[in-house]
Amino acid sequence: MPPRPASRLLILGWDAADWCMIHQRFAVGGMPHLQALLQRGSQAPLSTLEPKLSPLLWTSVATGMTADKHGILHFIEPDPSGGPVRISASTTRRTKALWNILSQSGMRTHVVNWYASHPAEPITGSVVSNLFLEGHAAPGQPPSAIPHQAVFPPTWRDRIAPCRVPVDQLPDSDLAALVPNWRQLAKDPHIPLLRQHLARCRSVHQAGLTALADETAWDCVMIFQEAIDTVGHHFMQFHPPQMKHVGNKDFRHFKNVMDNLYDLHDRMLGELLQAAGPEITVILLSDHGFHSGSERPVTEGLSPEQRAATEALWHREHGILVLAGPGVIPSASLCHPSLLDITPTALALLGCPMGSDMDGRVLTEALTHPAPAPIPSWDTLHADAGLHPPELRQNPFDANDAIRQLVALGYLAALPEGNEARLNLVRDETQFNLAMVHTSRGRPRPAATILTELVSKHPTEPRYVFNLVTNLLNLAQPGPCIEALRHFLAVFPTHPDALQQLAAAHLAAGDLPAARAALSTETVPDGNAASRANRLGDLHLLAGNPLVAREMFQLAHARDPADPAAITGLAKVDITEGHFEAAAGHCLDALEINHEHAEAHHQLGVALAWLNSLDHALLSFQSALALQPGRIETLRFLELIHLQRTENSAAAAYHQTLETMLSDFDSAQRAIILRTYPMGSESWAEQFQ
Amino acid sequence: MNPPLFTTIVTGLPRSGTSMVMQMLHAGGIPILTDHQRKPDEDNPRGYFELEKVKQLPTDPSVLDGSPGHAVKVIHLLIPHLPEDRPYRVLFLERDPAEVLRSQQIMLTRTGSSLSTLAPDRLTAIFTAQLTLTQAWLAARPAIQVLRVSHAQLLSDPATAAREIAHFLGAPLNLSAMTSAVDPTLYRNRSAV
Repeated sequence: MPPRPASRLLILGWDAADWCMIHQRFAVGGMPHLQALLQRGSQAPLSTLEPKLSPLLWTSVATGMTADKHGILHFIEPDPSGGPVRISASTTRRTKALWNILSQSGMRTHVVNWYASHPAEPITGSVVSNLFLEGHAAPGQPPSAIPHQAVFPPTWRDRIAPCRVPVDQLPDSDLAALVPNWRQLAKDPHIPLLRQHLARCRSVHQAGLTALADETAWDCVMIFQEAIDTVGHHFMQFHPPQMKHVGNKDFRHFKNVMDNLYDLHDRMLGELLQAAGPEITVILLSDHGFHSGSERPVTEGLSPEQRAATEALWHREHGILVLAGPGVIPSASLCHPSLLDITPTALALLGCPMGSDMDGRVLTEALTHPAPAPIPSWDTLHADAGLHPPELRQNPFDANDAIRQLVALGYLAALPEGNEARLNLVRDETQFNLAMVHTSRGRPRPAATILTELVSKHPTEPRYVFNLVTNLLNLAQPGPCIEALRHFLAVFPTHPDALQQLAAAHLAAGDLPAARAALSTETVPDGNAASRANRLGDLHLLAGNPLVAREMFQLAHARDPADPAAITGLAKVDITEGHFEAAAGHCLDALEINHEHAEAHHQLGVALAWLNSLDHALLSFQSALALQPGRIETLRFLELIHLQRTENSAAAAYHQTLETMLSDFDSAQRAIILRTYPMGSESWAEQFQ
Repeated sequence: MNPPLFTTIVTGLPRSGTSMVMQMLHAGGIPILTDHQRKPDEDNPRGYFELEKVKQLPTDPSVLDGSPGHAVKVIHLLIPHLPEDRPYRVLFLERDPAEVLRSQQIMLTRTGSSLSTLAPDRLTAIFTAQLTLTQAWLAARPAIQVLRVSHAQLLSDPATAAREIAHFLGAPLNLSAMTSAVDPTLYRNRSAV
């Protein structure tokens, strides 16, 4: 039996918690419980996954696998029993979750409110599903029963029922903790909204405390709180500095809501740690960050559909990760942890091997004990894992197809027209999310196949069109990109993102005048669009306009001084103009802000290569590649530097990697893929010829 | 014959022989709940014996008001929507899923409806899972008696099947008429398509 570093493990999920907000609280002495936890633990930014949608992300946390493998691809899905749609269910998950693996390993786990955990699975321990508050009493209504199958074992229903806080029975003190003068704002629609979210938050917390208090010895408790995300979508707009669209009155009343919410989470953390006891090992994490500064999107005045499409823009790349307690090395330097690493690491802490089919890794650098050797897969080990029976684990889209057949045969009533349209939307969005997963994992071919089908049905849906173009550009197919964008621009002739992509497609096709024409119609970004300015800077640089490129990067830097992409952009311009030392300085500045910025490592390597500091250049390129495998230009530089140093075997290895990656492309496509910024690898190598 | 106090439910996958059993019950003397909206056709030359409003069971359980003493056809997916405030006896038709699928496809093709894009094995898996869930729902309700009726036996030995159904329902049915209601040639002709 391998050593088990942690006797008991608490995994606490705070949806969308962000280090920026936490550090702001620390600066004024807030969040003392988290501060104390950090003093005895390790911390890091936690990389998220694409698309940044909570059901996908939290299921990846619980399985160690990407969404294309675990199968939860949307918030909602068809209802296999014949209704229109339902919340994405545990029966749709195609792989074992951490609680199944622990159950199979003879351990006792309690799960509270995890995404896609309904119906509750029959594990050793308990599951309080994410629908345990469904149908919860509206204000003035009598309390409803806990929904069927929301709690396992059924004997726990009586324990969980008192945890549910009806909205109108939320203690006033909870509301006052966020909005001290809430009584004076009785008619403000934000107050009942906040009350609703806080009642849910309080209910989950109480269910979590109930799980921790289980008199039978347990091994793992997993509690998920979504309030930072759900409240943030409504109230982060009021957080200082005041956004342009926010009125003075709202700003005055609600500017401290998010700060106070973080403090509330800290108090809950303190209560959970006290209930768990001193020997608890803790993993505290969030699935992504949440913009609180100049990159906050403006959703005011948008239609509900536009707003829904915009909500994901609040989410930032990095969430939080804290590891503390027995089995964890304090102040360890964590190496680019991601959501996919949580289940492998939790398994190692509890003395279990990870599956080799998981996409993450054990964060061994933070653990006091080596991890057990991985096994091929937990899914192929047949034992009671507390899974639902196979007949319940239907693919909901397959089930919906079967139901459509029964409707066509005349044995079932067809859904009303509106519901059919809704189902089709769910089907399309699920496919889109799958395409996003493929894109983010470097699989442009399956992504492009899905997106081509979606664009054929919805040629003017921006997300479908732009993601298709992104993938086709990665496949070096500028022609179809230009065609898709022309259809789109015929309807939205001044859409800035479409014009940017058109310029990129023309650049890929080698048509510089057309690229410059597309860029000339693009206006200087307004508002808080730093990321758009960065993209424009890149395109202008490729189009041979370094002066304009510099303007764009400077604009992005002014919008968000903490954005490493803007500073790295300035480095690219400096390299183009031969200012290699200045470029290296910019890259170091960018890496000081975010050491995991692959492009900054790469550009530092470029600058160092031109400065003939080849040892350091190699290190920088290797860092870039570790952060983002498959970077073509980075691989080219590595090959050419090793060649220059007559390290032929190393050069050949990188060459082989490149050849493997490019083997599916013809010569024209290879030329497109290998096209680089000025002063790129080819130019660097030419100086030695 | 005194009408029984329960509702006789005939269920199973579409094209598993539910219409044939409804014909047998009708011939045997059990009153049938049907609105005759769905007319006989090439797929069911003797009629479907269906009640259109049964499709509304999930939202309107009152569609079965007045059903005791009658037989009514209810597709397997709607069984869990049966109102639980009244007694039932259930005749559950069983037929090889591959045969069921073939028969459904023939019917869809004939009516010009679009075929499912799902591969047959995936469709079969879904239908099998649906049947398992329906059977589990029934098994959890011991007050509901269930007789599994084999489609193959109906065709090969209709007299025995009729006897077993009559015994299950506890009703003095006209066994000879029930047996005659089964016309294996219909099945043989269609399955040869």
